[in-house]
Amino acid sequence: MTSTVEEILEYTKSVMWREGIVIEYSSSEPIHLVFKCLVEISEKITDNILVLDVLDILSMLKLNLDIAGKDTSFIHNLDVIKIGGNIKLGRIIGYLDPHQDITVYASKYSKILREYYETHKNIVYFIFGMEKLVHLQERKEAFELYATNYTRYVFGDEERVGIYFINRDIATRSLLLQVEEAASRVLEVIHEEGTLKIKIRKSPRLDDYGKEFKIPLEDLCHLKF
Amino acid sequence: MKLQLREFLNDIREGERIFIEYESTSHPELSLDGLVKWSNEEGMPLLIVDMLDTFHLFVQQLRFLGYSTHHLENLCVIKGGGKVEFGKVIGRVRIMEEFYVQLKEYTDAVRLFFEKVKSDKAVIVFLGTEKFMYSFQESSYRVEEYFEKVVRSPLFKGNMIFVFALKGLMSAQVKALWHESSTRVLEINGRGDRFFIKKAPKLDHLDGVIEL
Repeated sequence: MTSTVEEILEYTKSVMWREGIVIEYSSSEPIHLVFKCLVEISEKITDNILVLDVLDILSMLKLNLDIAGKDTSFIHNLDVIKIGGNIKLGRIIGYLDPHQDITVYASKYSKILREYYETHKNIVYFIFGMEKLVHLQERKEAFELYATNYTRYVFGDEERVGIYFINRDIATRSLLLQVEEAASRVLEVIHEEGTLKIKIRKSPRLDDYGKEFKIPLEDLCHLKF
Repeated sequence: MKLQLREFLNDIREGERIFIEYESTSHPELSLDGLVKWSNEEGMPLLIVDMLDTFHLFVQQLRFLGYSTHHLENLCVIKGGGKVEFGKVIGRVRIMEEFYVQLKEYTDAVRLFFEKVKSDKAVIVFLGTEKFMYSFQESSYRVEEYFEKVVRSPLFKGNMIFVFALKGLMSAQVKALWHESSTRVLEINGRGDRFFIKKAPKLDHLDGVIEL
């Protein structure tokens, strides 16, 4: 059965501040549309939308949205922390070089984030590309340890919702499992025979287990929140 | 066989080790909550050995589930790595130090706990050990050494040990050693409100289910 906009909104309303949500996808899923829908929903509750743009993924999302004929002007209003990459989009509040040692850029990252949290409240934070950074380090385990430690440390700590987009085909198993563990919700996006399925794999509401949303791909382009 | 958590806990004898594996998407904190409440009612002191802020994760998840976490605030905690202070932190283990320094800091903290609670019986809960071991589990020698000096440590004679571990991180050797060194092995189902008994000293418990 196809899910309605009301059902999706109803579900997003159950999300509490301070939650961490993992959204898992593979390289062929239309996450540019999922991202746009989530930004539209977030704009209803806050002006403070922050994006972690790792290795220019934001420009890939914009490109896909442009080609699909969607309005991408909302991207100019996003606050952006860039890690690597060359294409500047949104209001850049910090830039980090991922080719440095993780211990060096991680402390800069947490400083930028702390300053942002001090001046902004009710933040929706879209975190893209964490799984790609692992591969830029000589010692993968060191990155995994640092990144997962940090994810655990910030879990539930500020008035914000953290949304981790993770490409499950790129992520190392250790990173994926530990980020899932340190999240209150895990959703899986799967594209199957003309339908986009969003499976709920983890939730603080135990009744949600096993539920899924189904949206026909043709409707996904026209969803209005 | 179906058991309530309480029935299962009442069946455990001193000196046992119980290994509990959970999935990244389940709620193992529900069983920690049950275990702490049980130990309070039994008047058994409880110590948390918390590696890499895993205890903090469990507490936050309970909050999102709508549970009160007051009864966890007074628990004694030994922290290995991690930054979040929750509970009464009675000792720290610097995990970047070499093994024998870690071992000393750890055994000192455990002794301090037994002096503090004035009891020689306790429930000891290990959280996040699998994350810590992940960093050295390619070395089968170090894994064996860890089991000899830490897991089977005589410090814990007469106590009940519960080890919670995230599934999928452990090497085959680590997992096999935990299973062998434990008297009971449990697996938590998808949501976290049921366990499956994978190993038990009494055969009628084997393949049984525990409900919260």
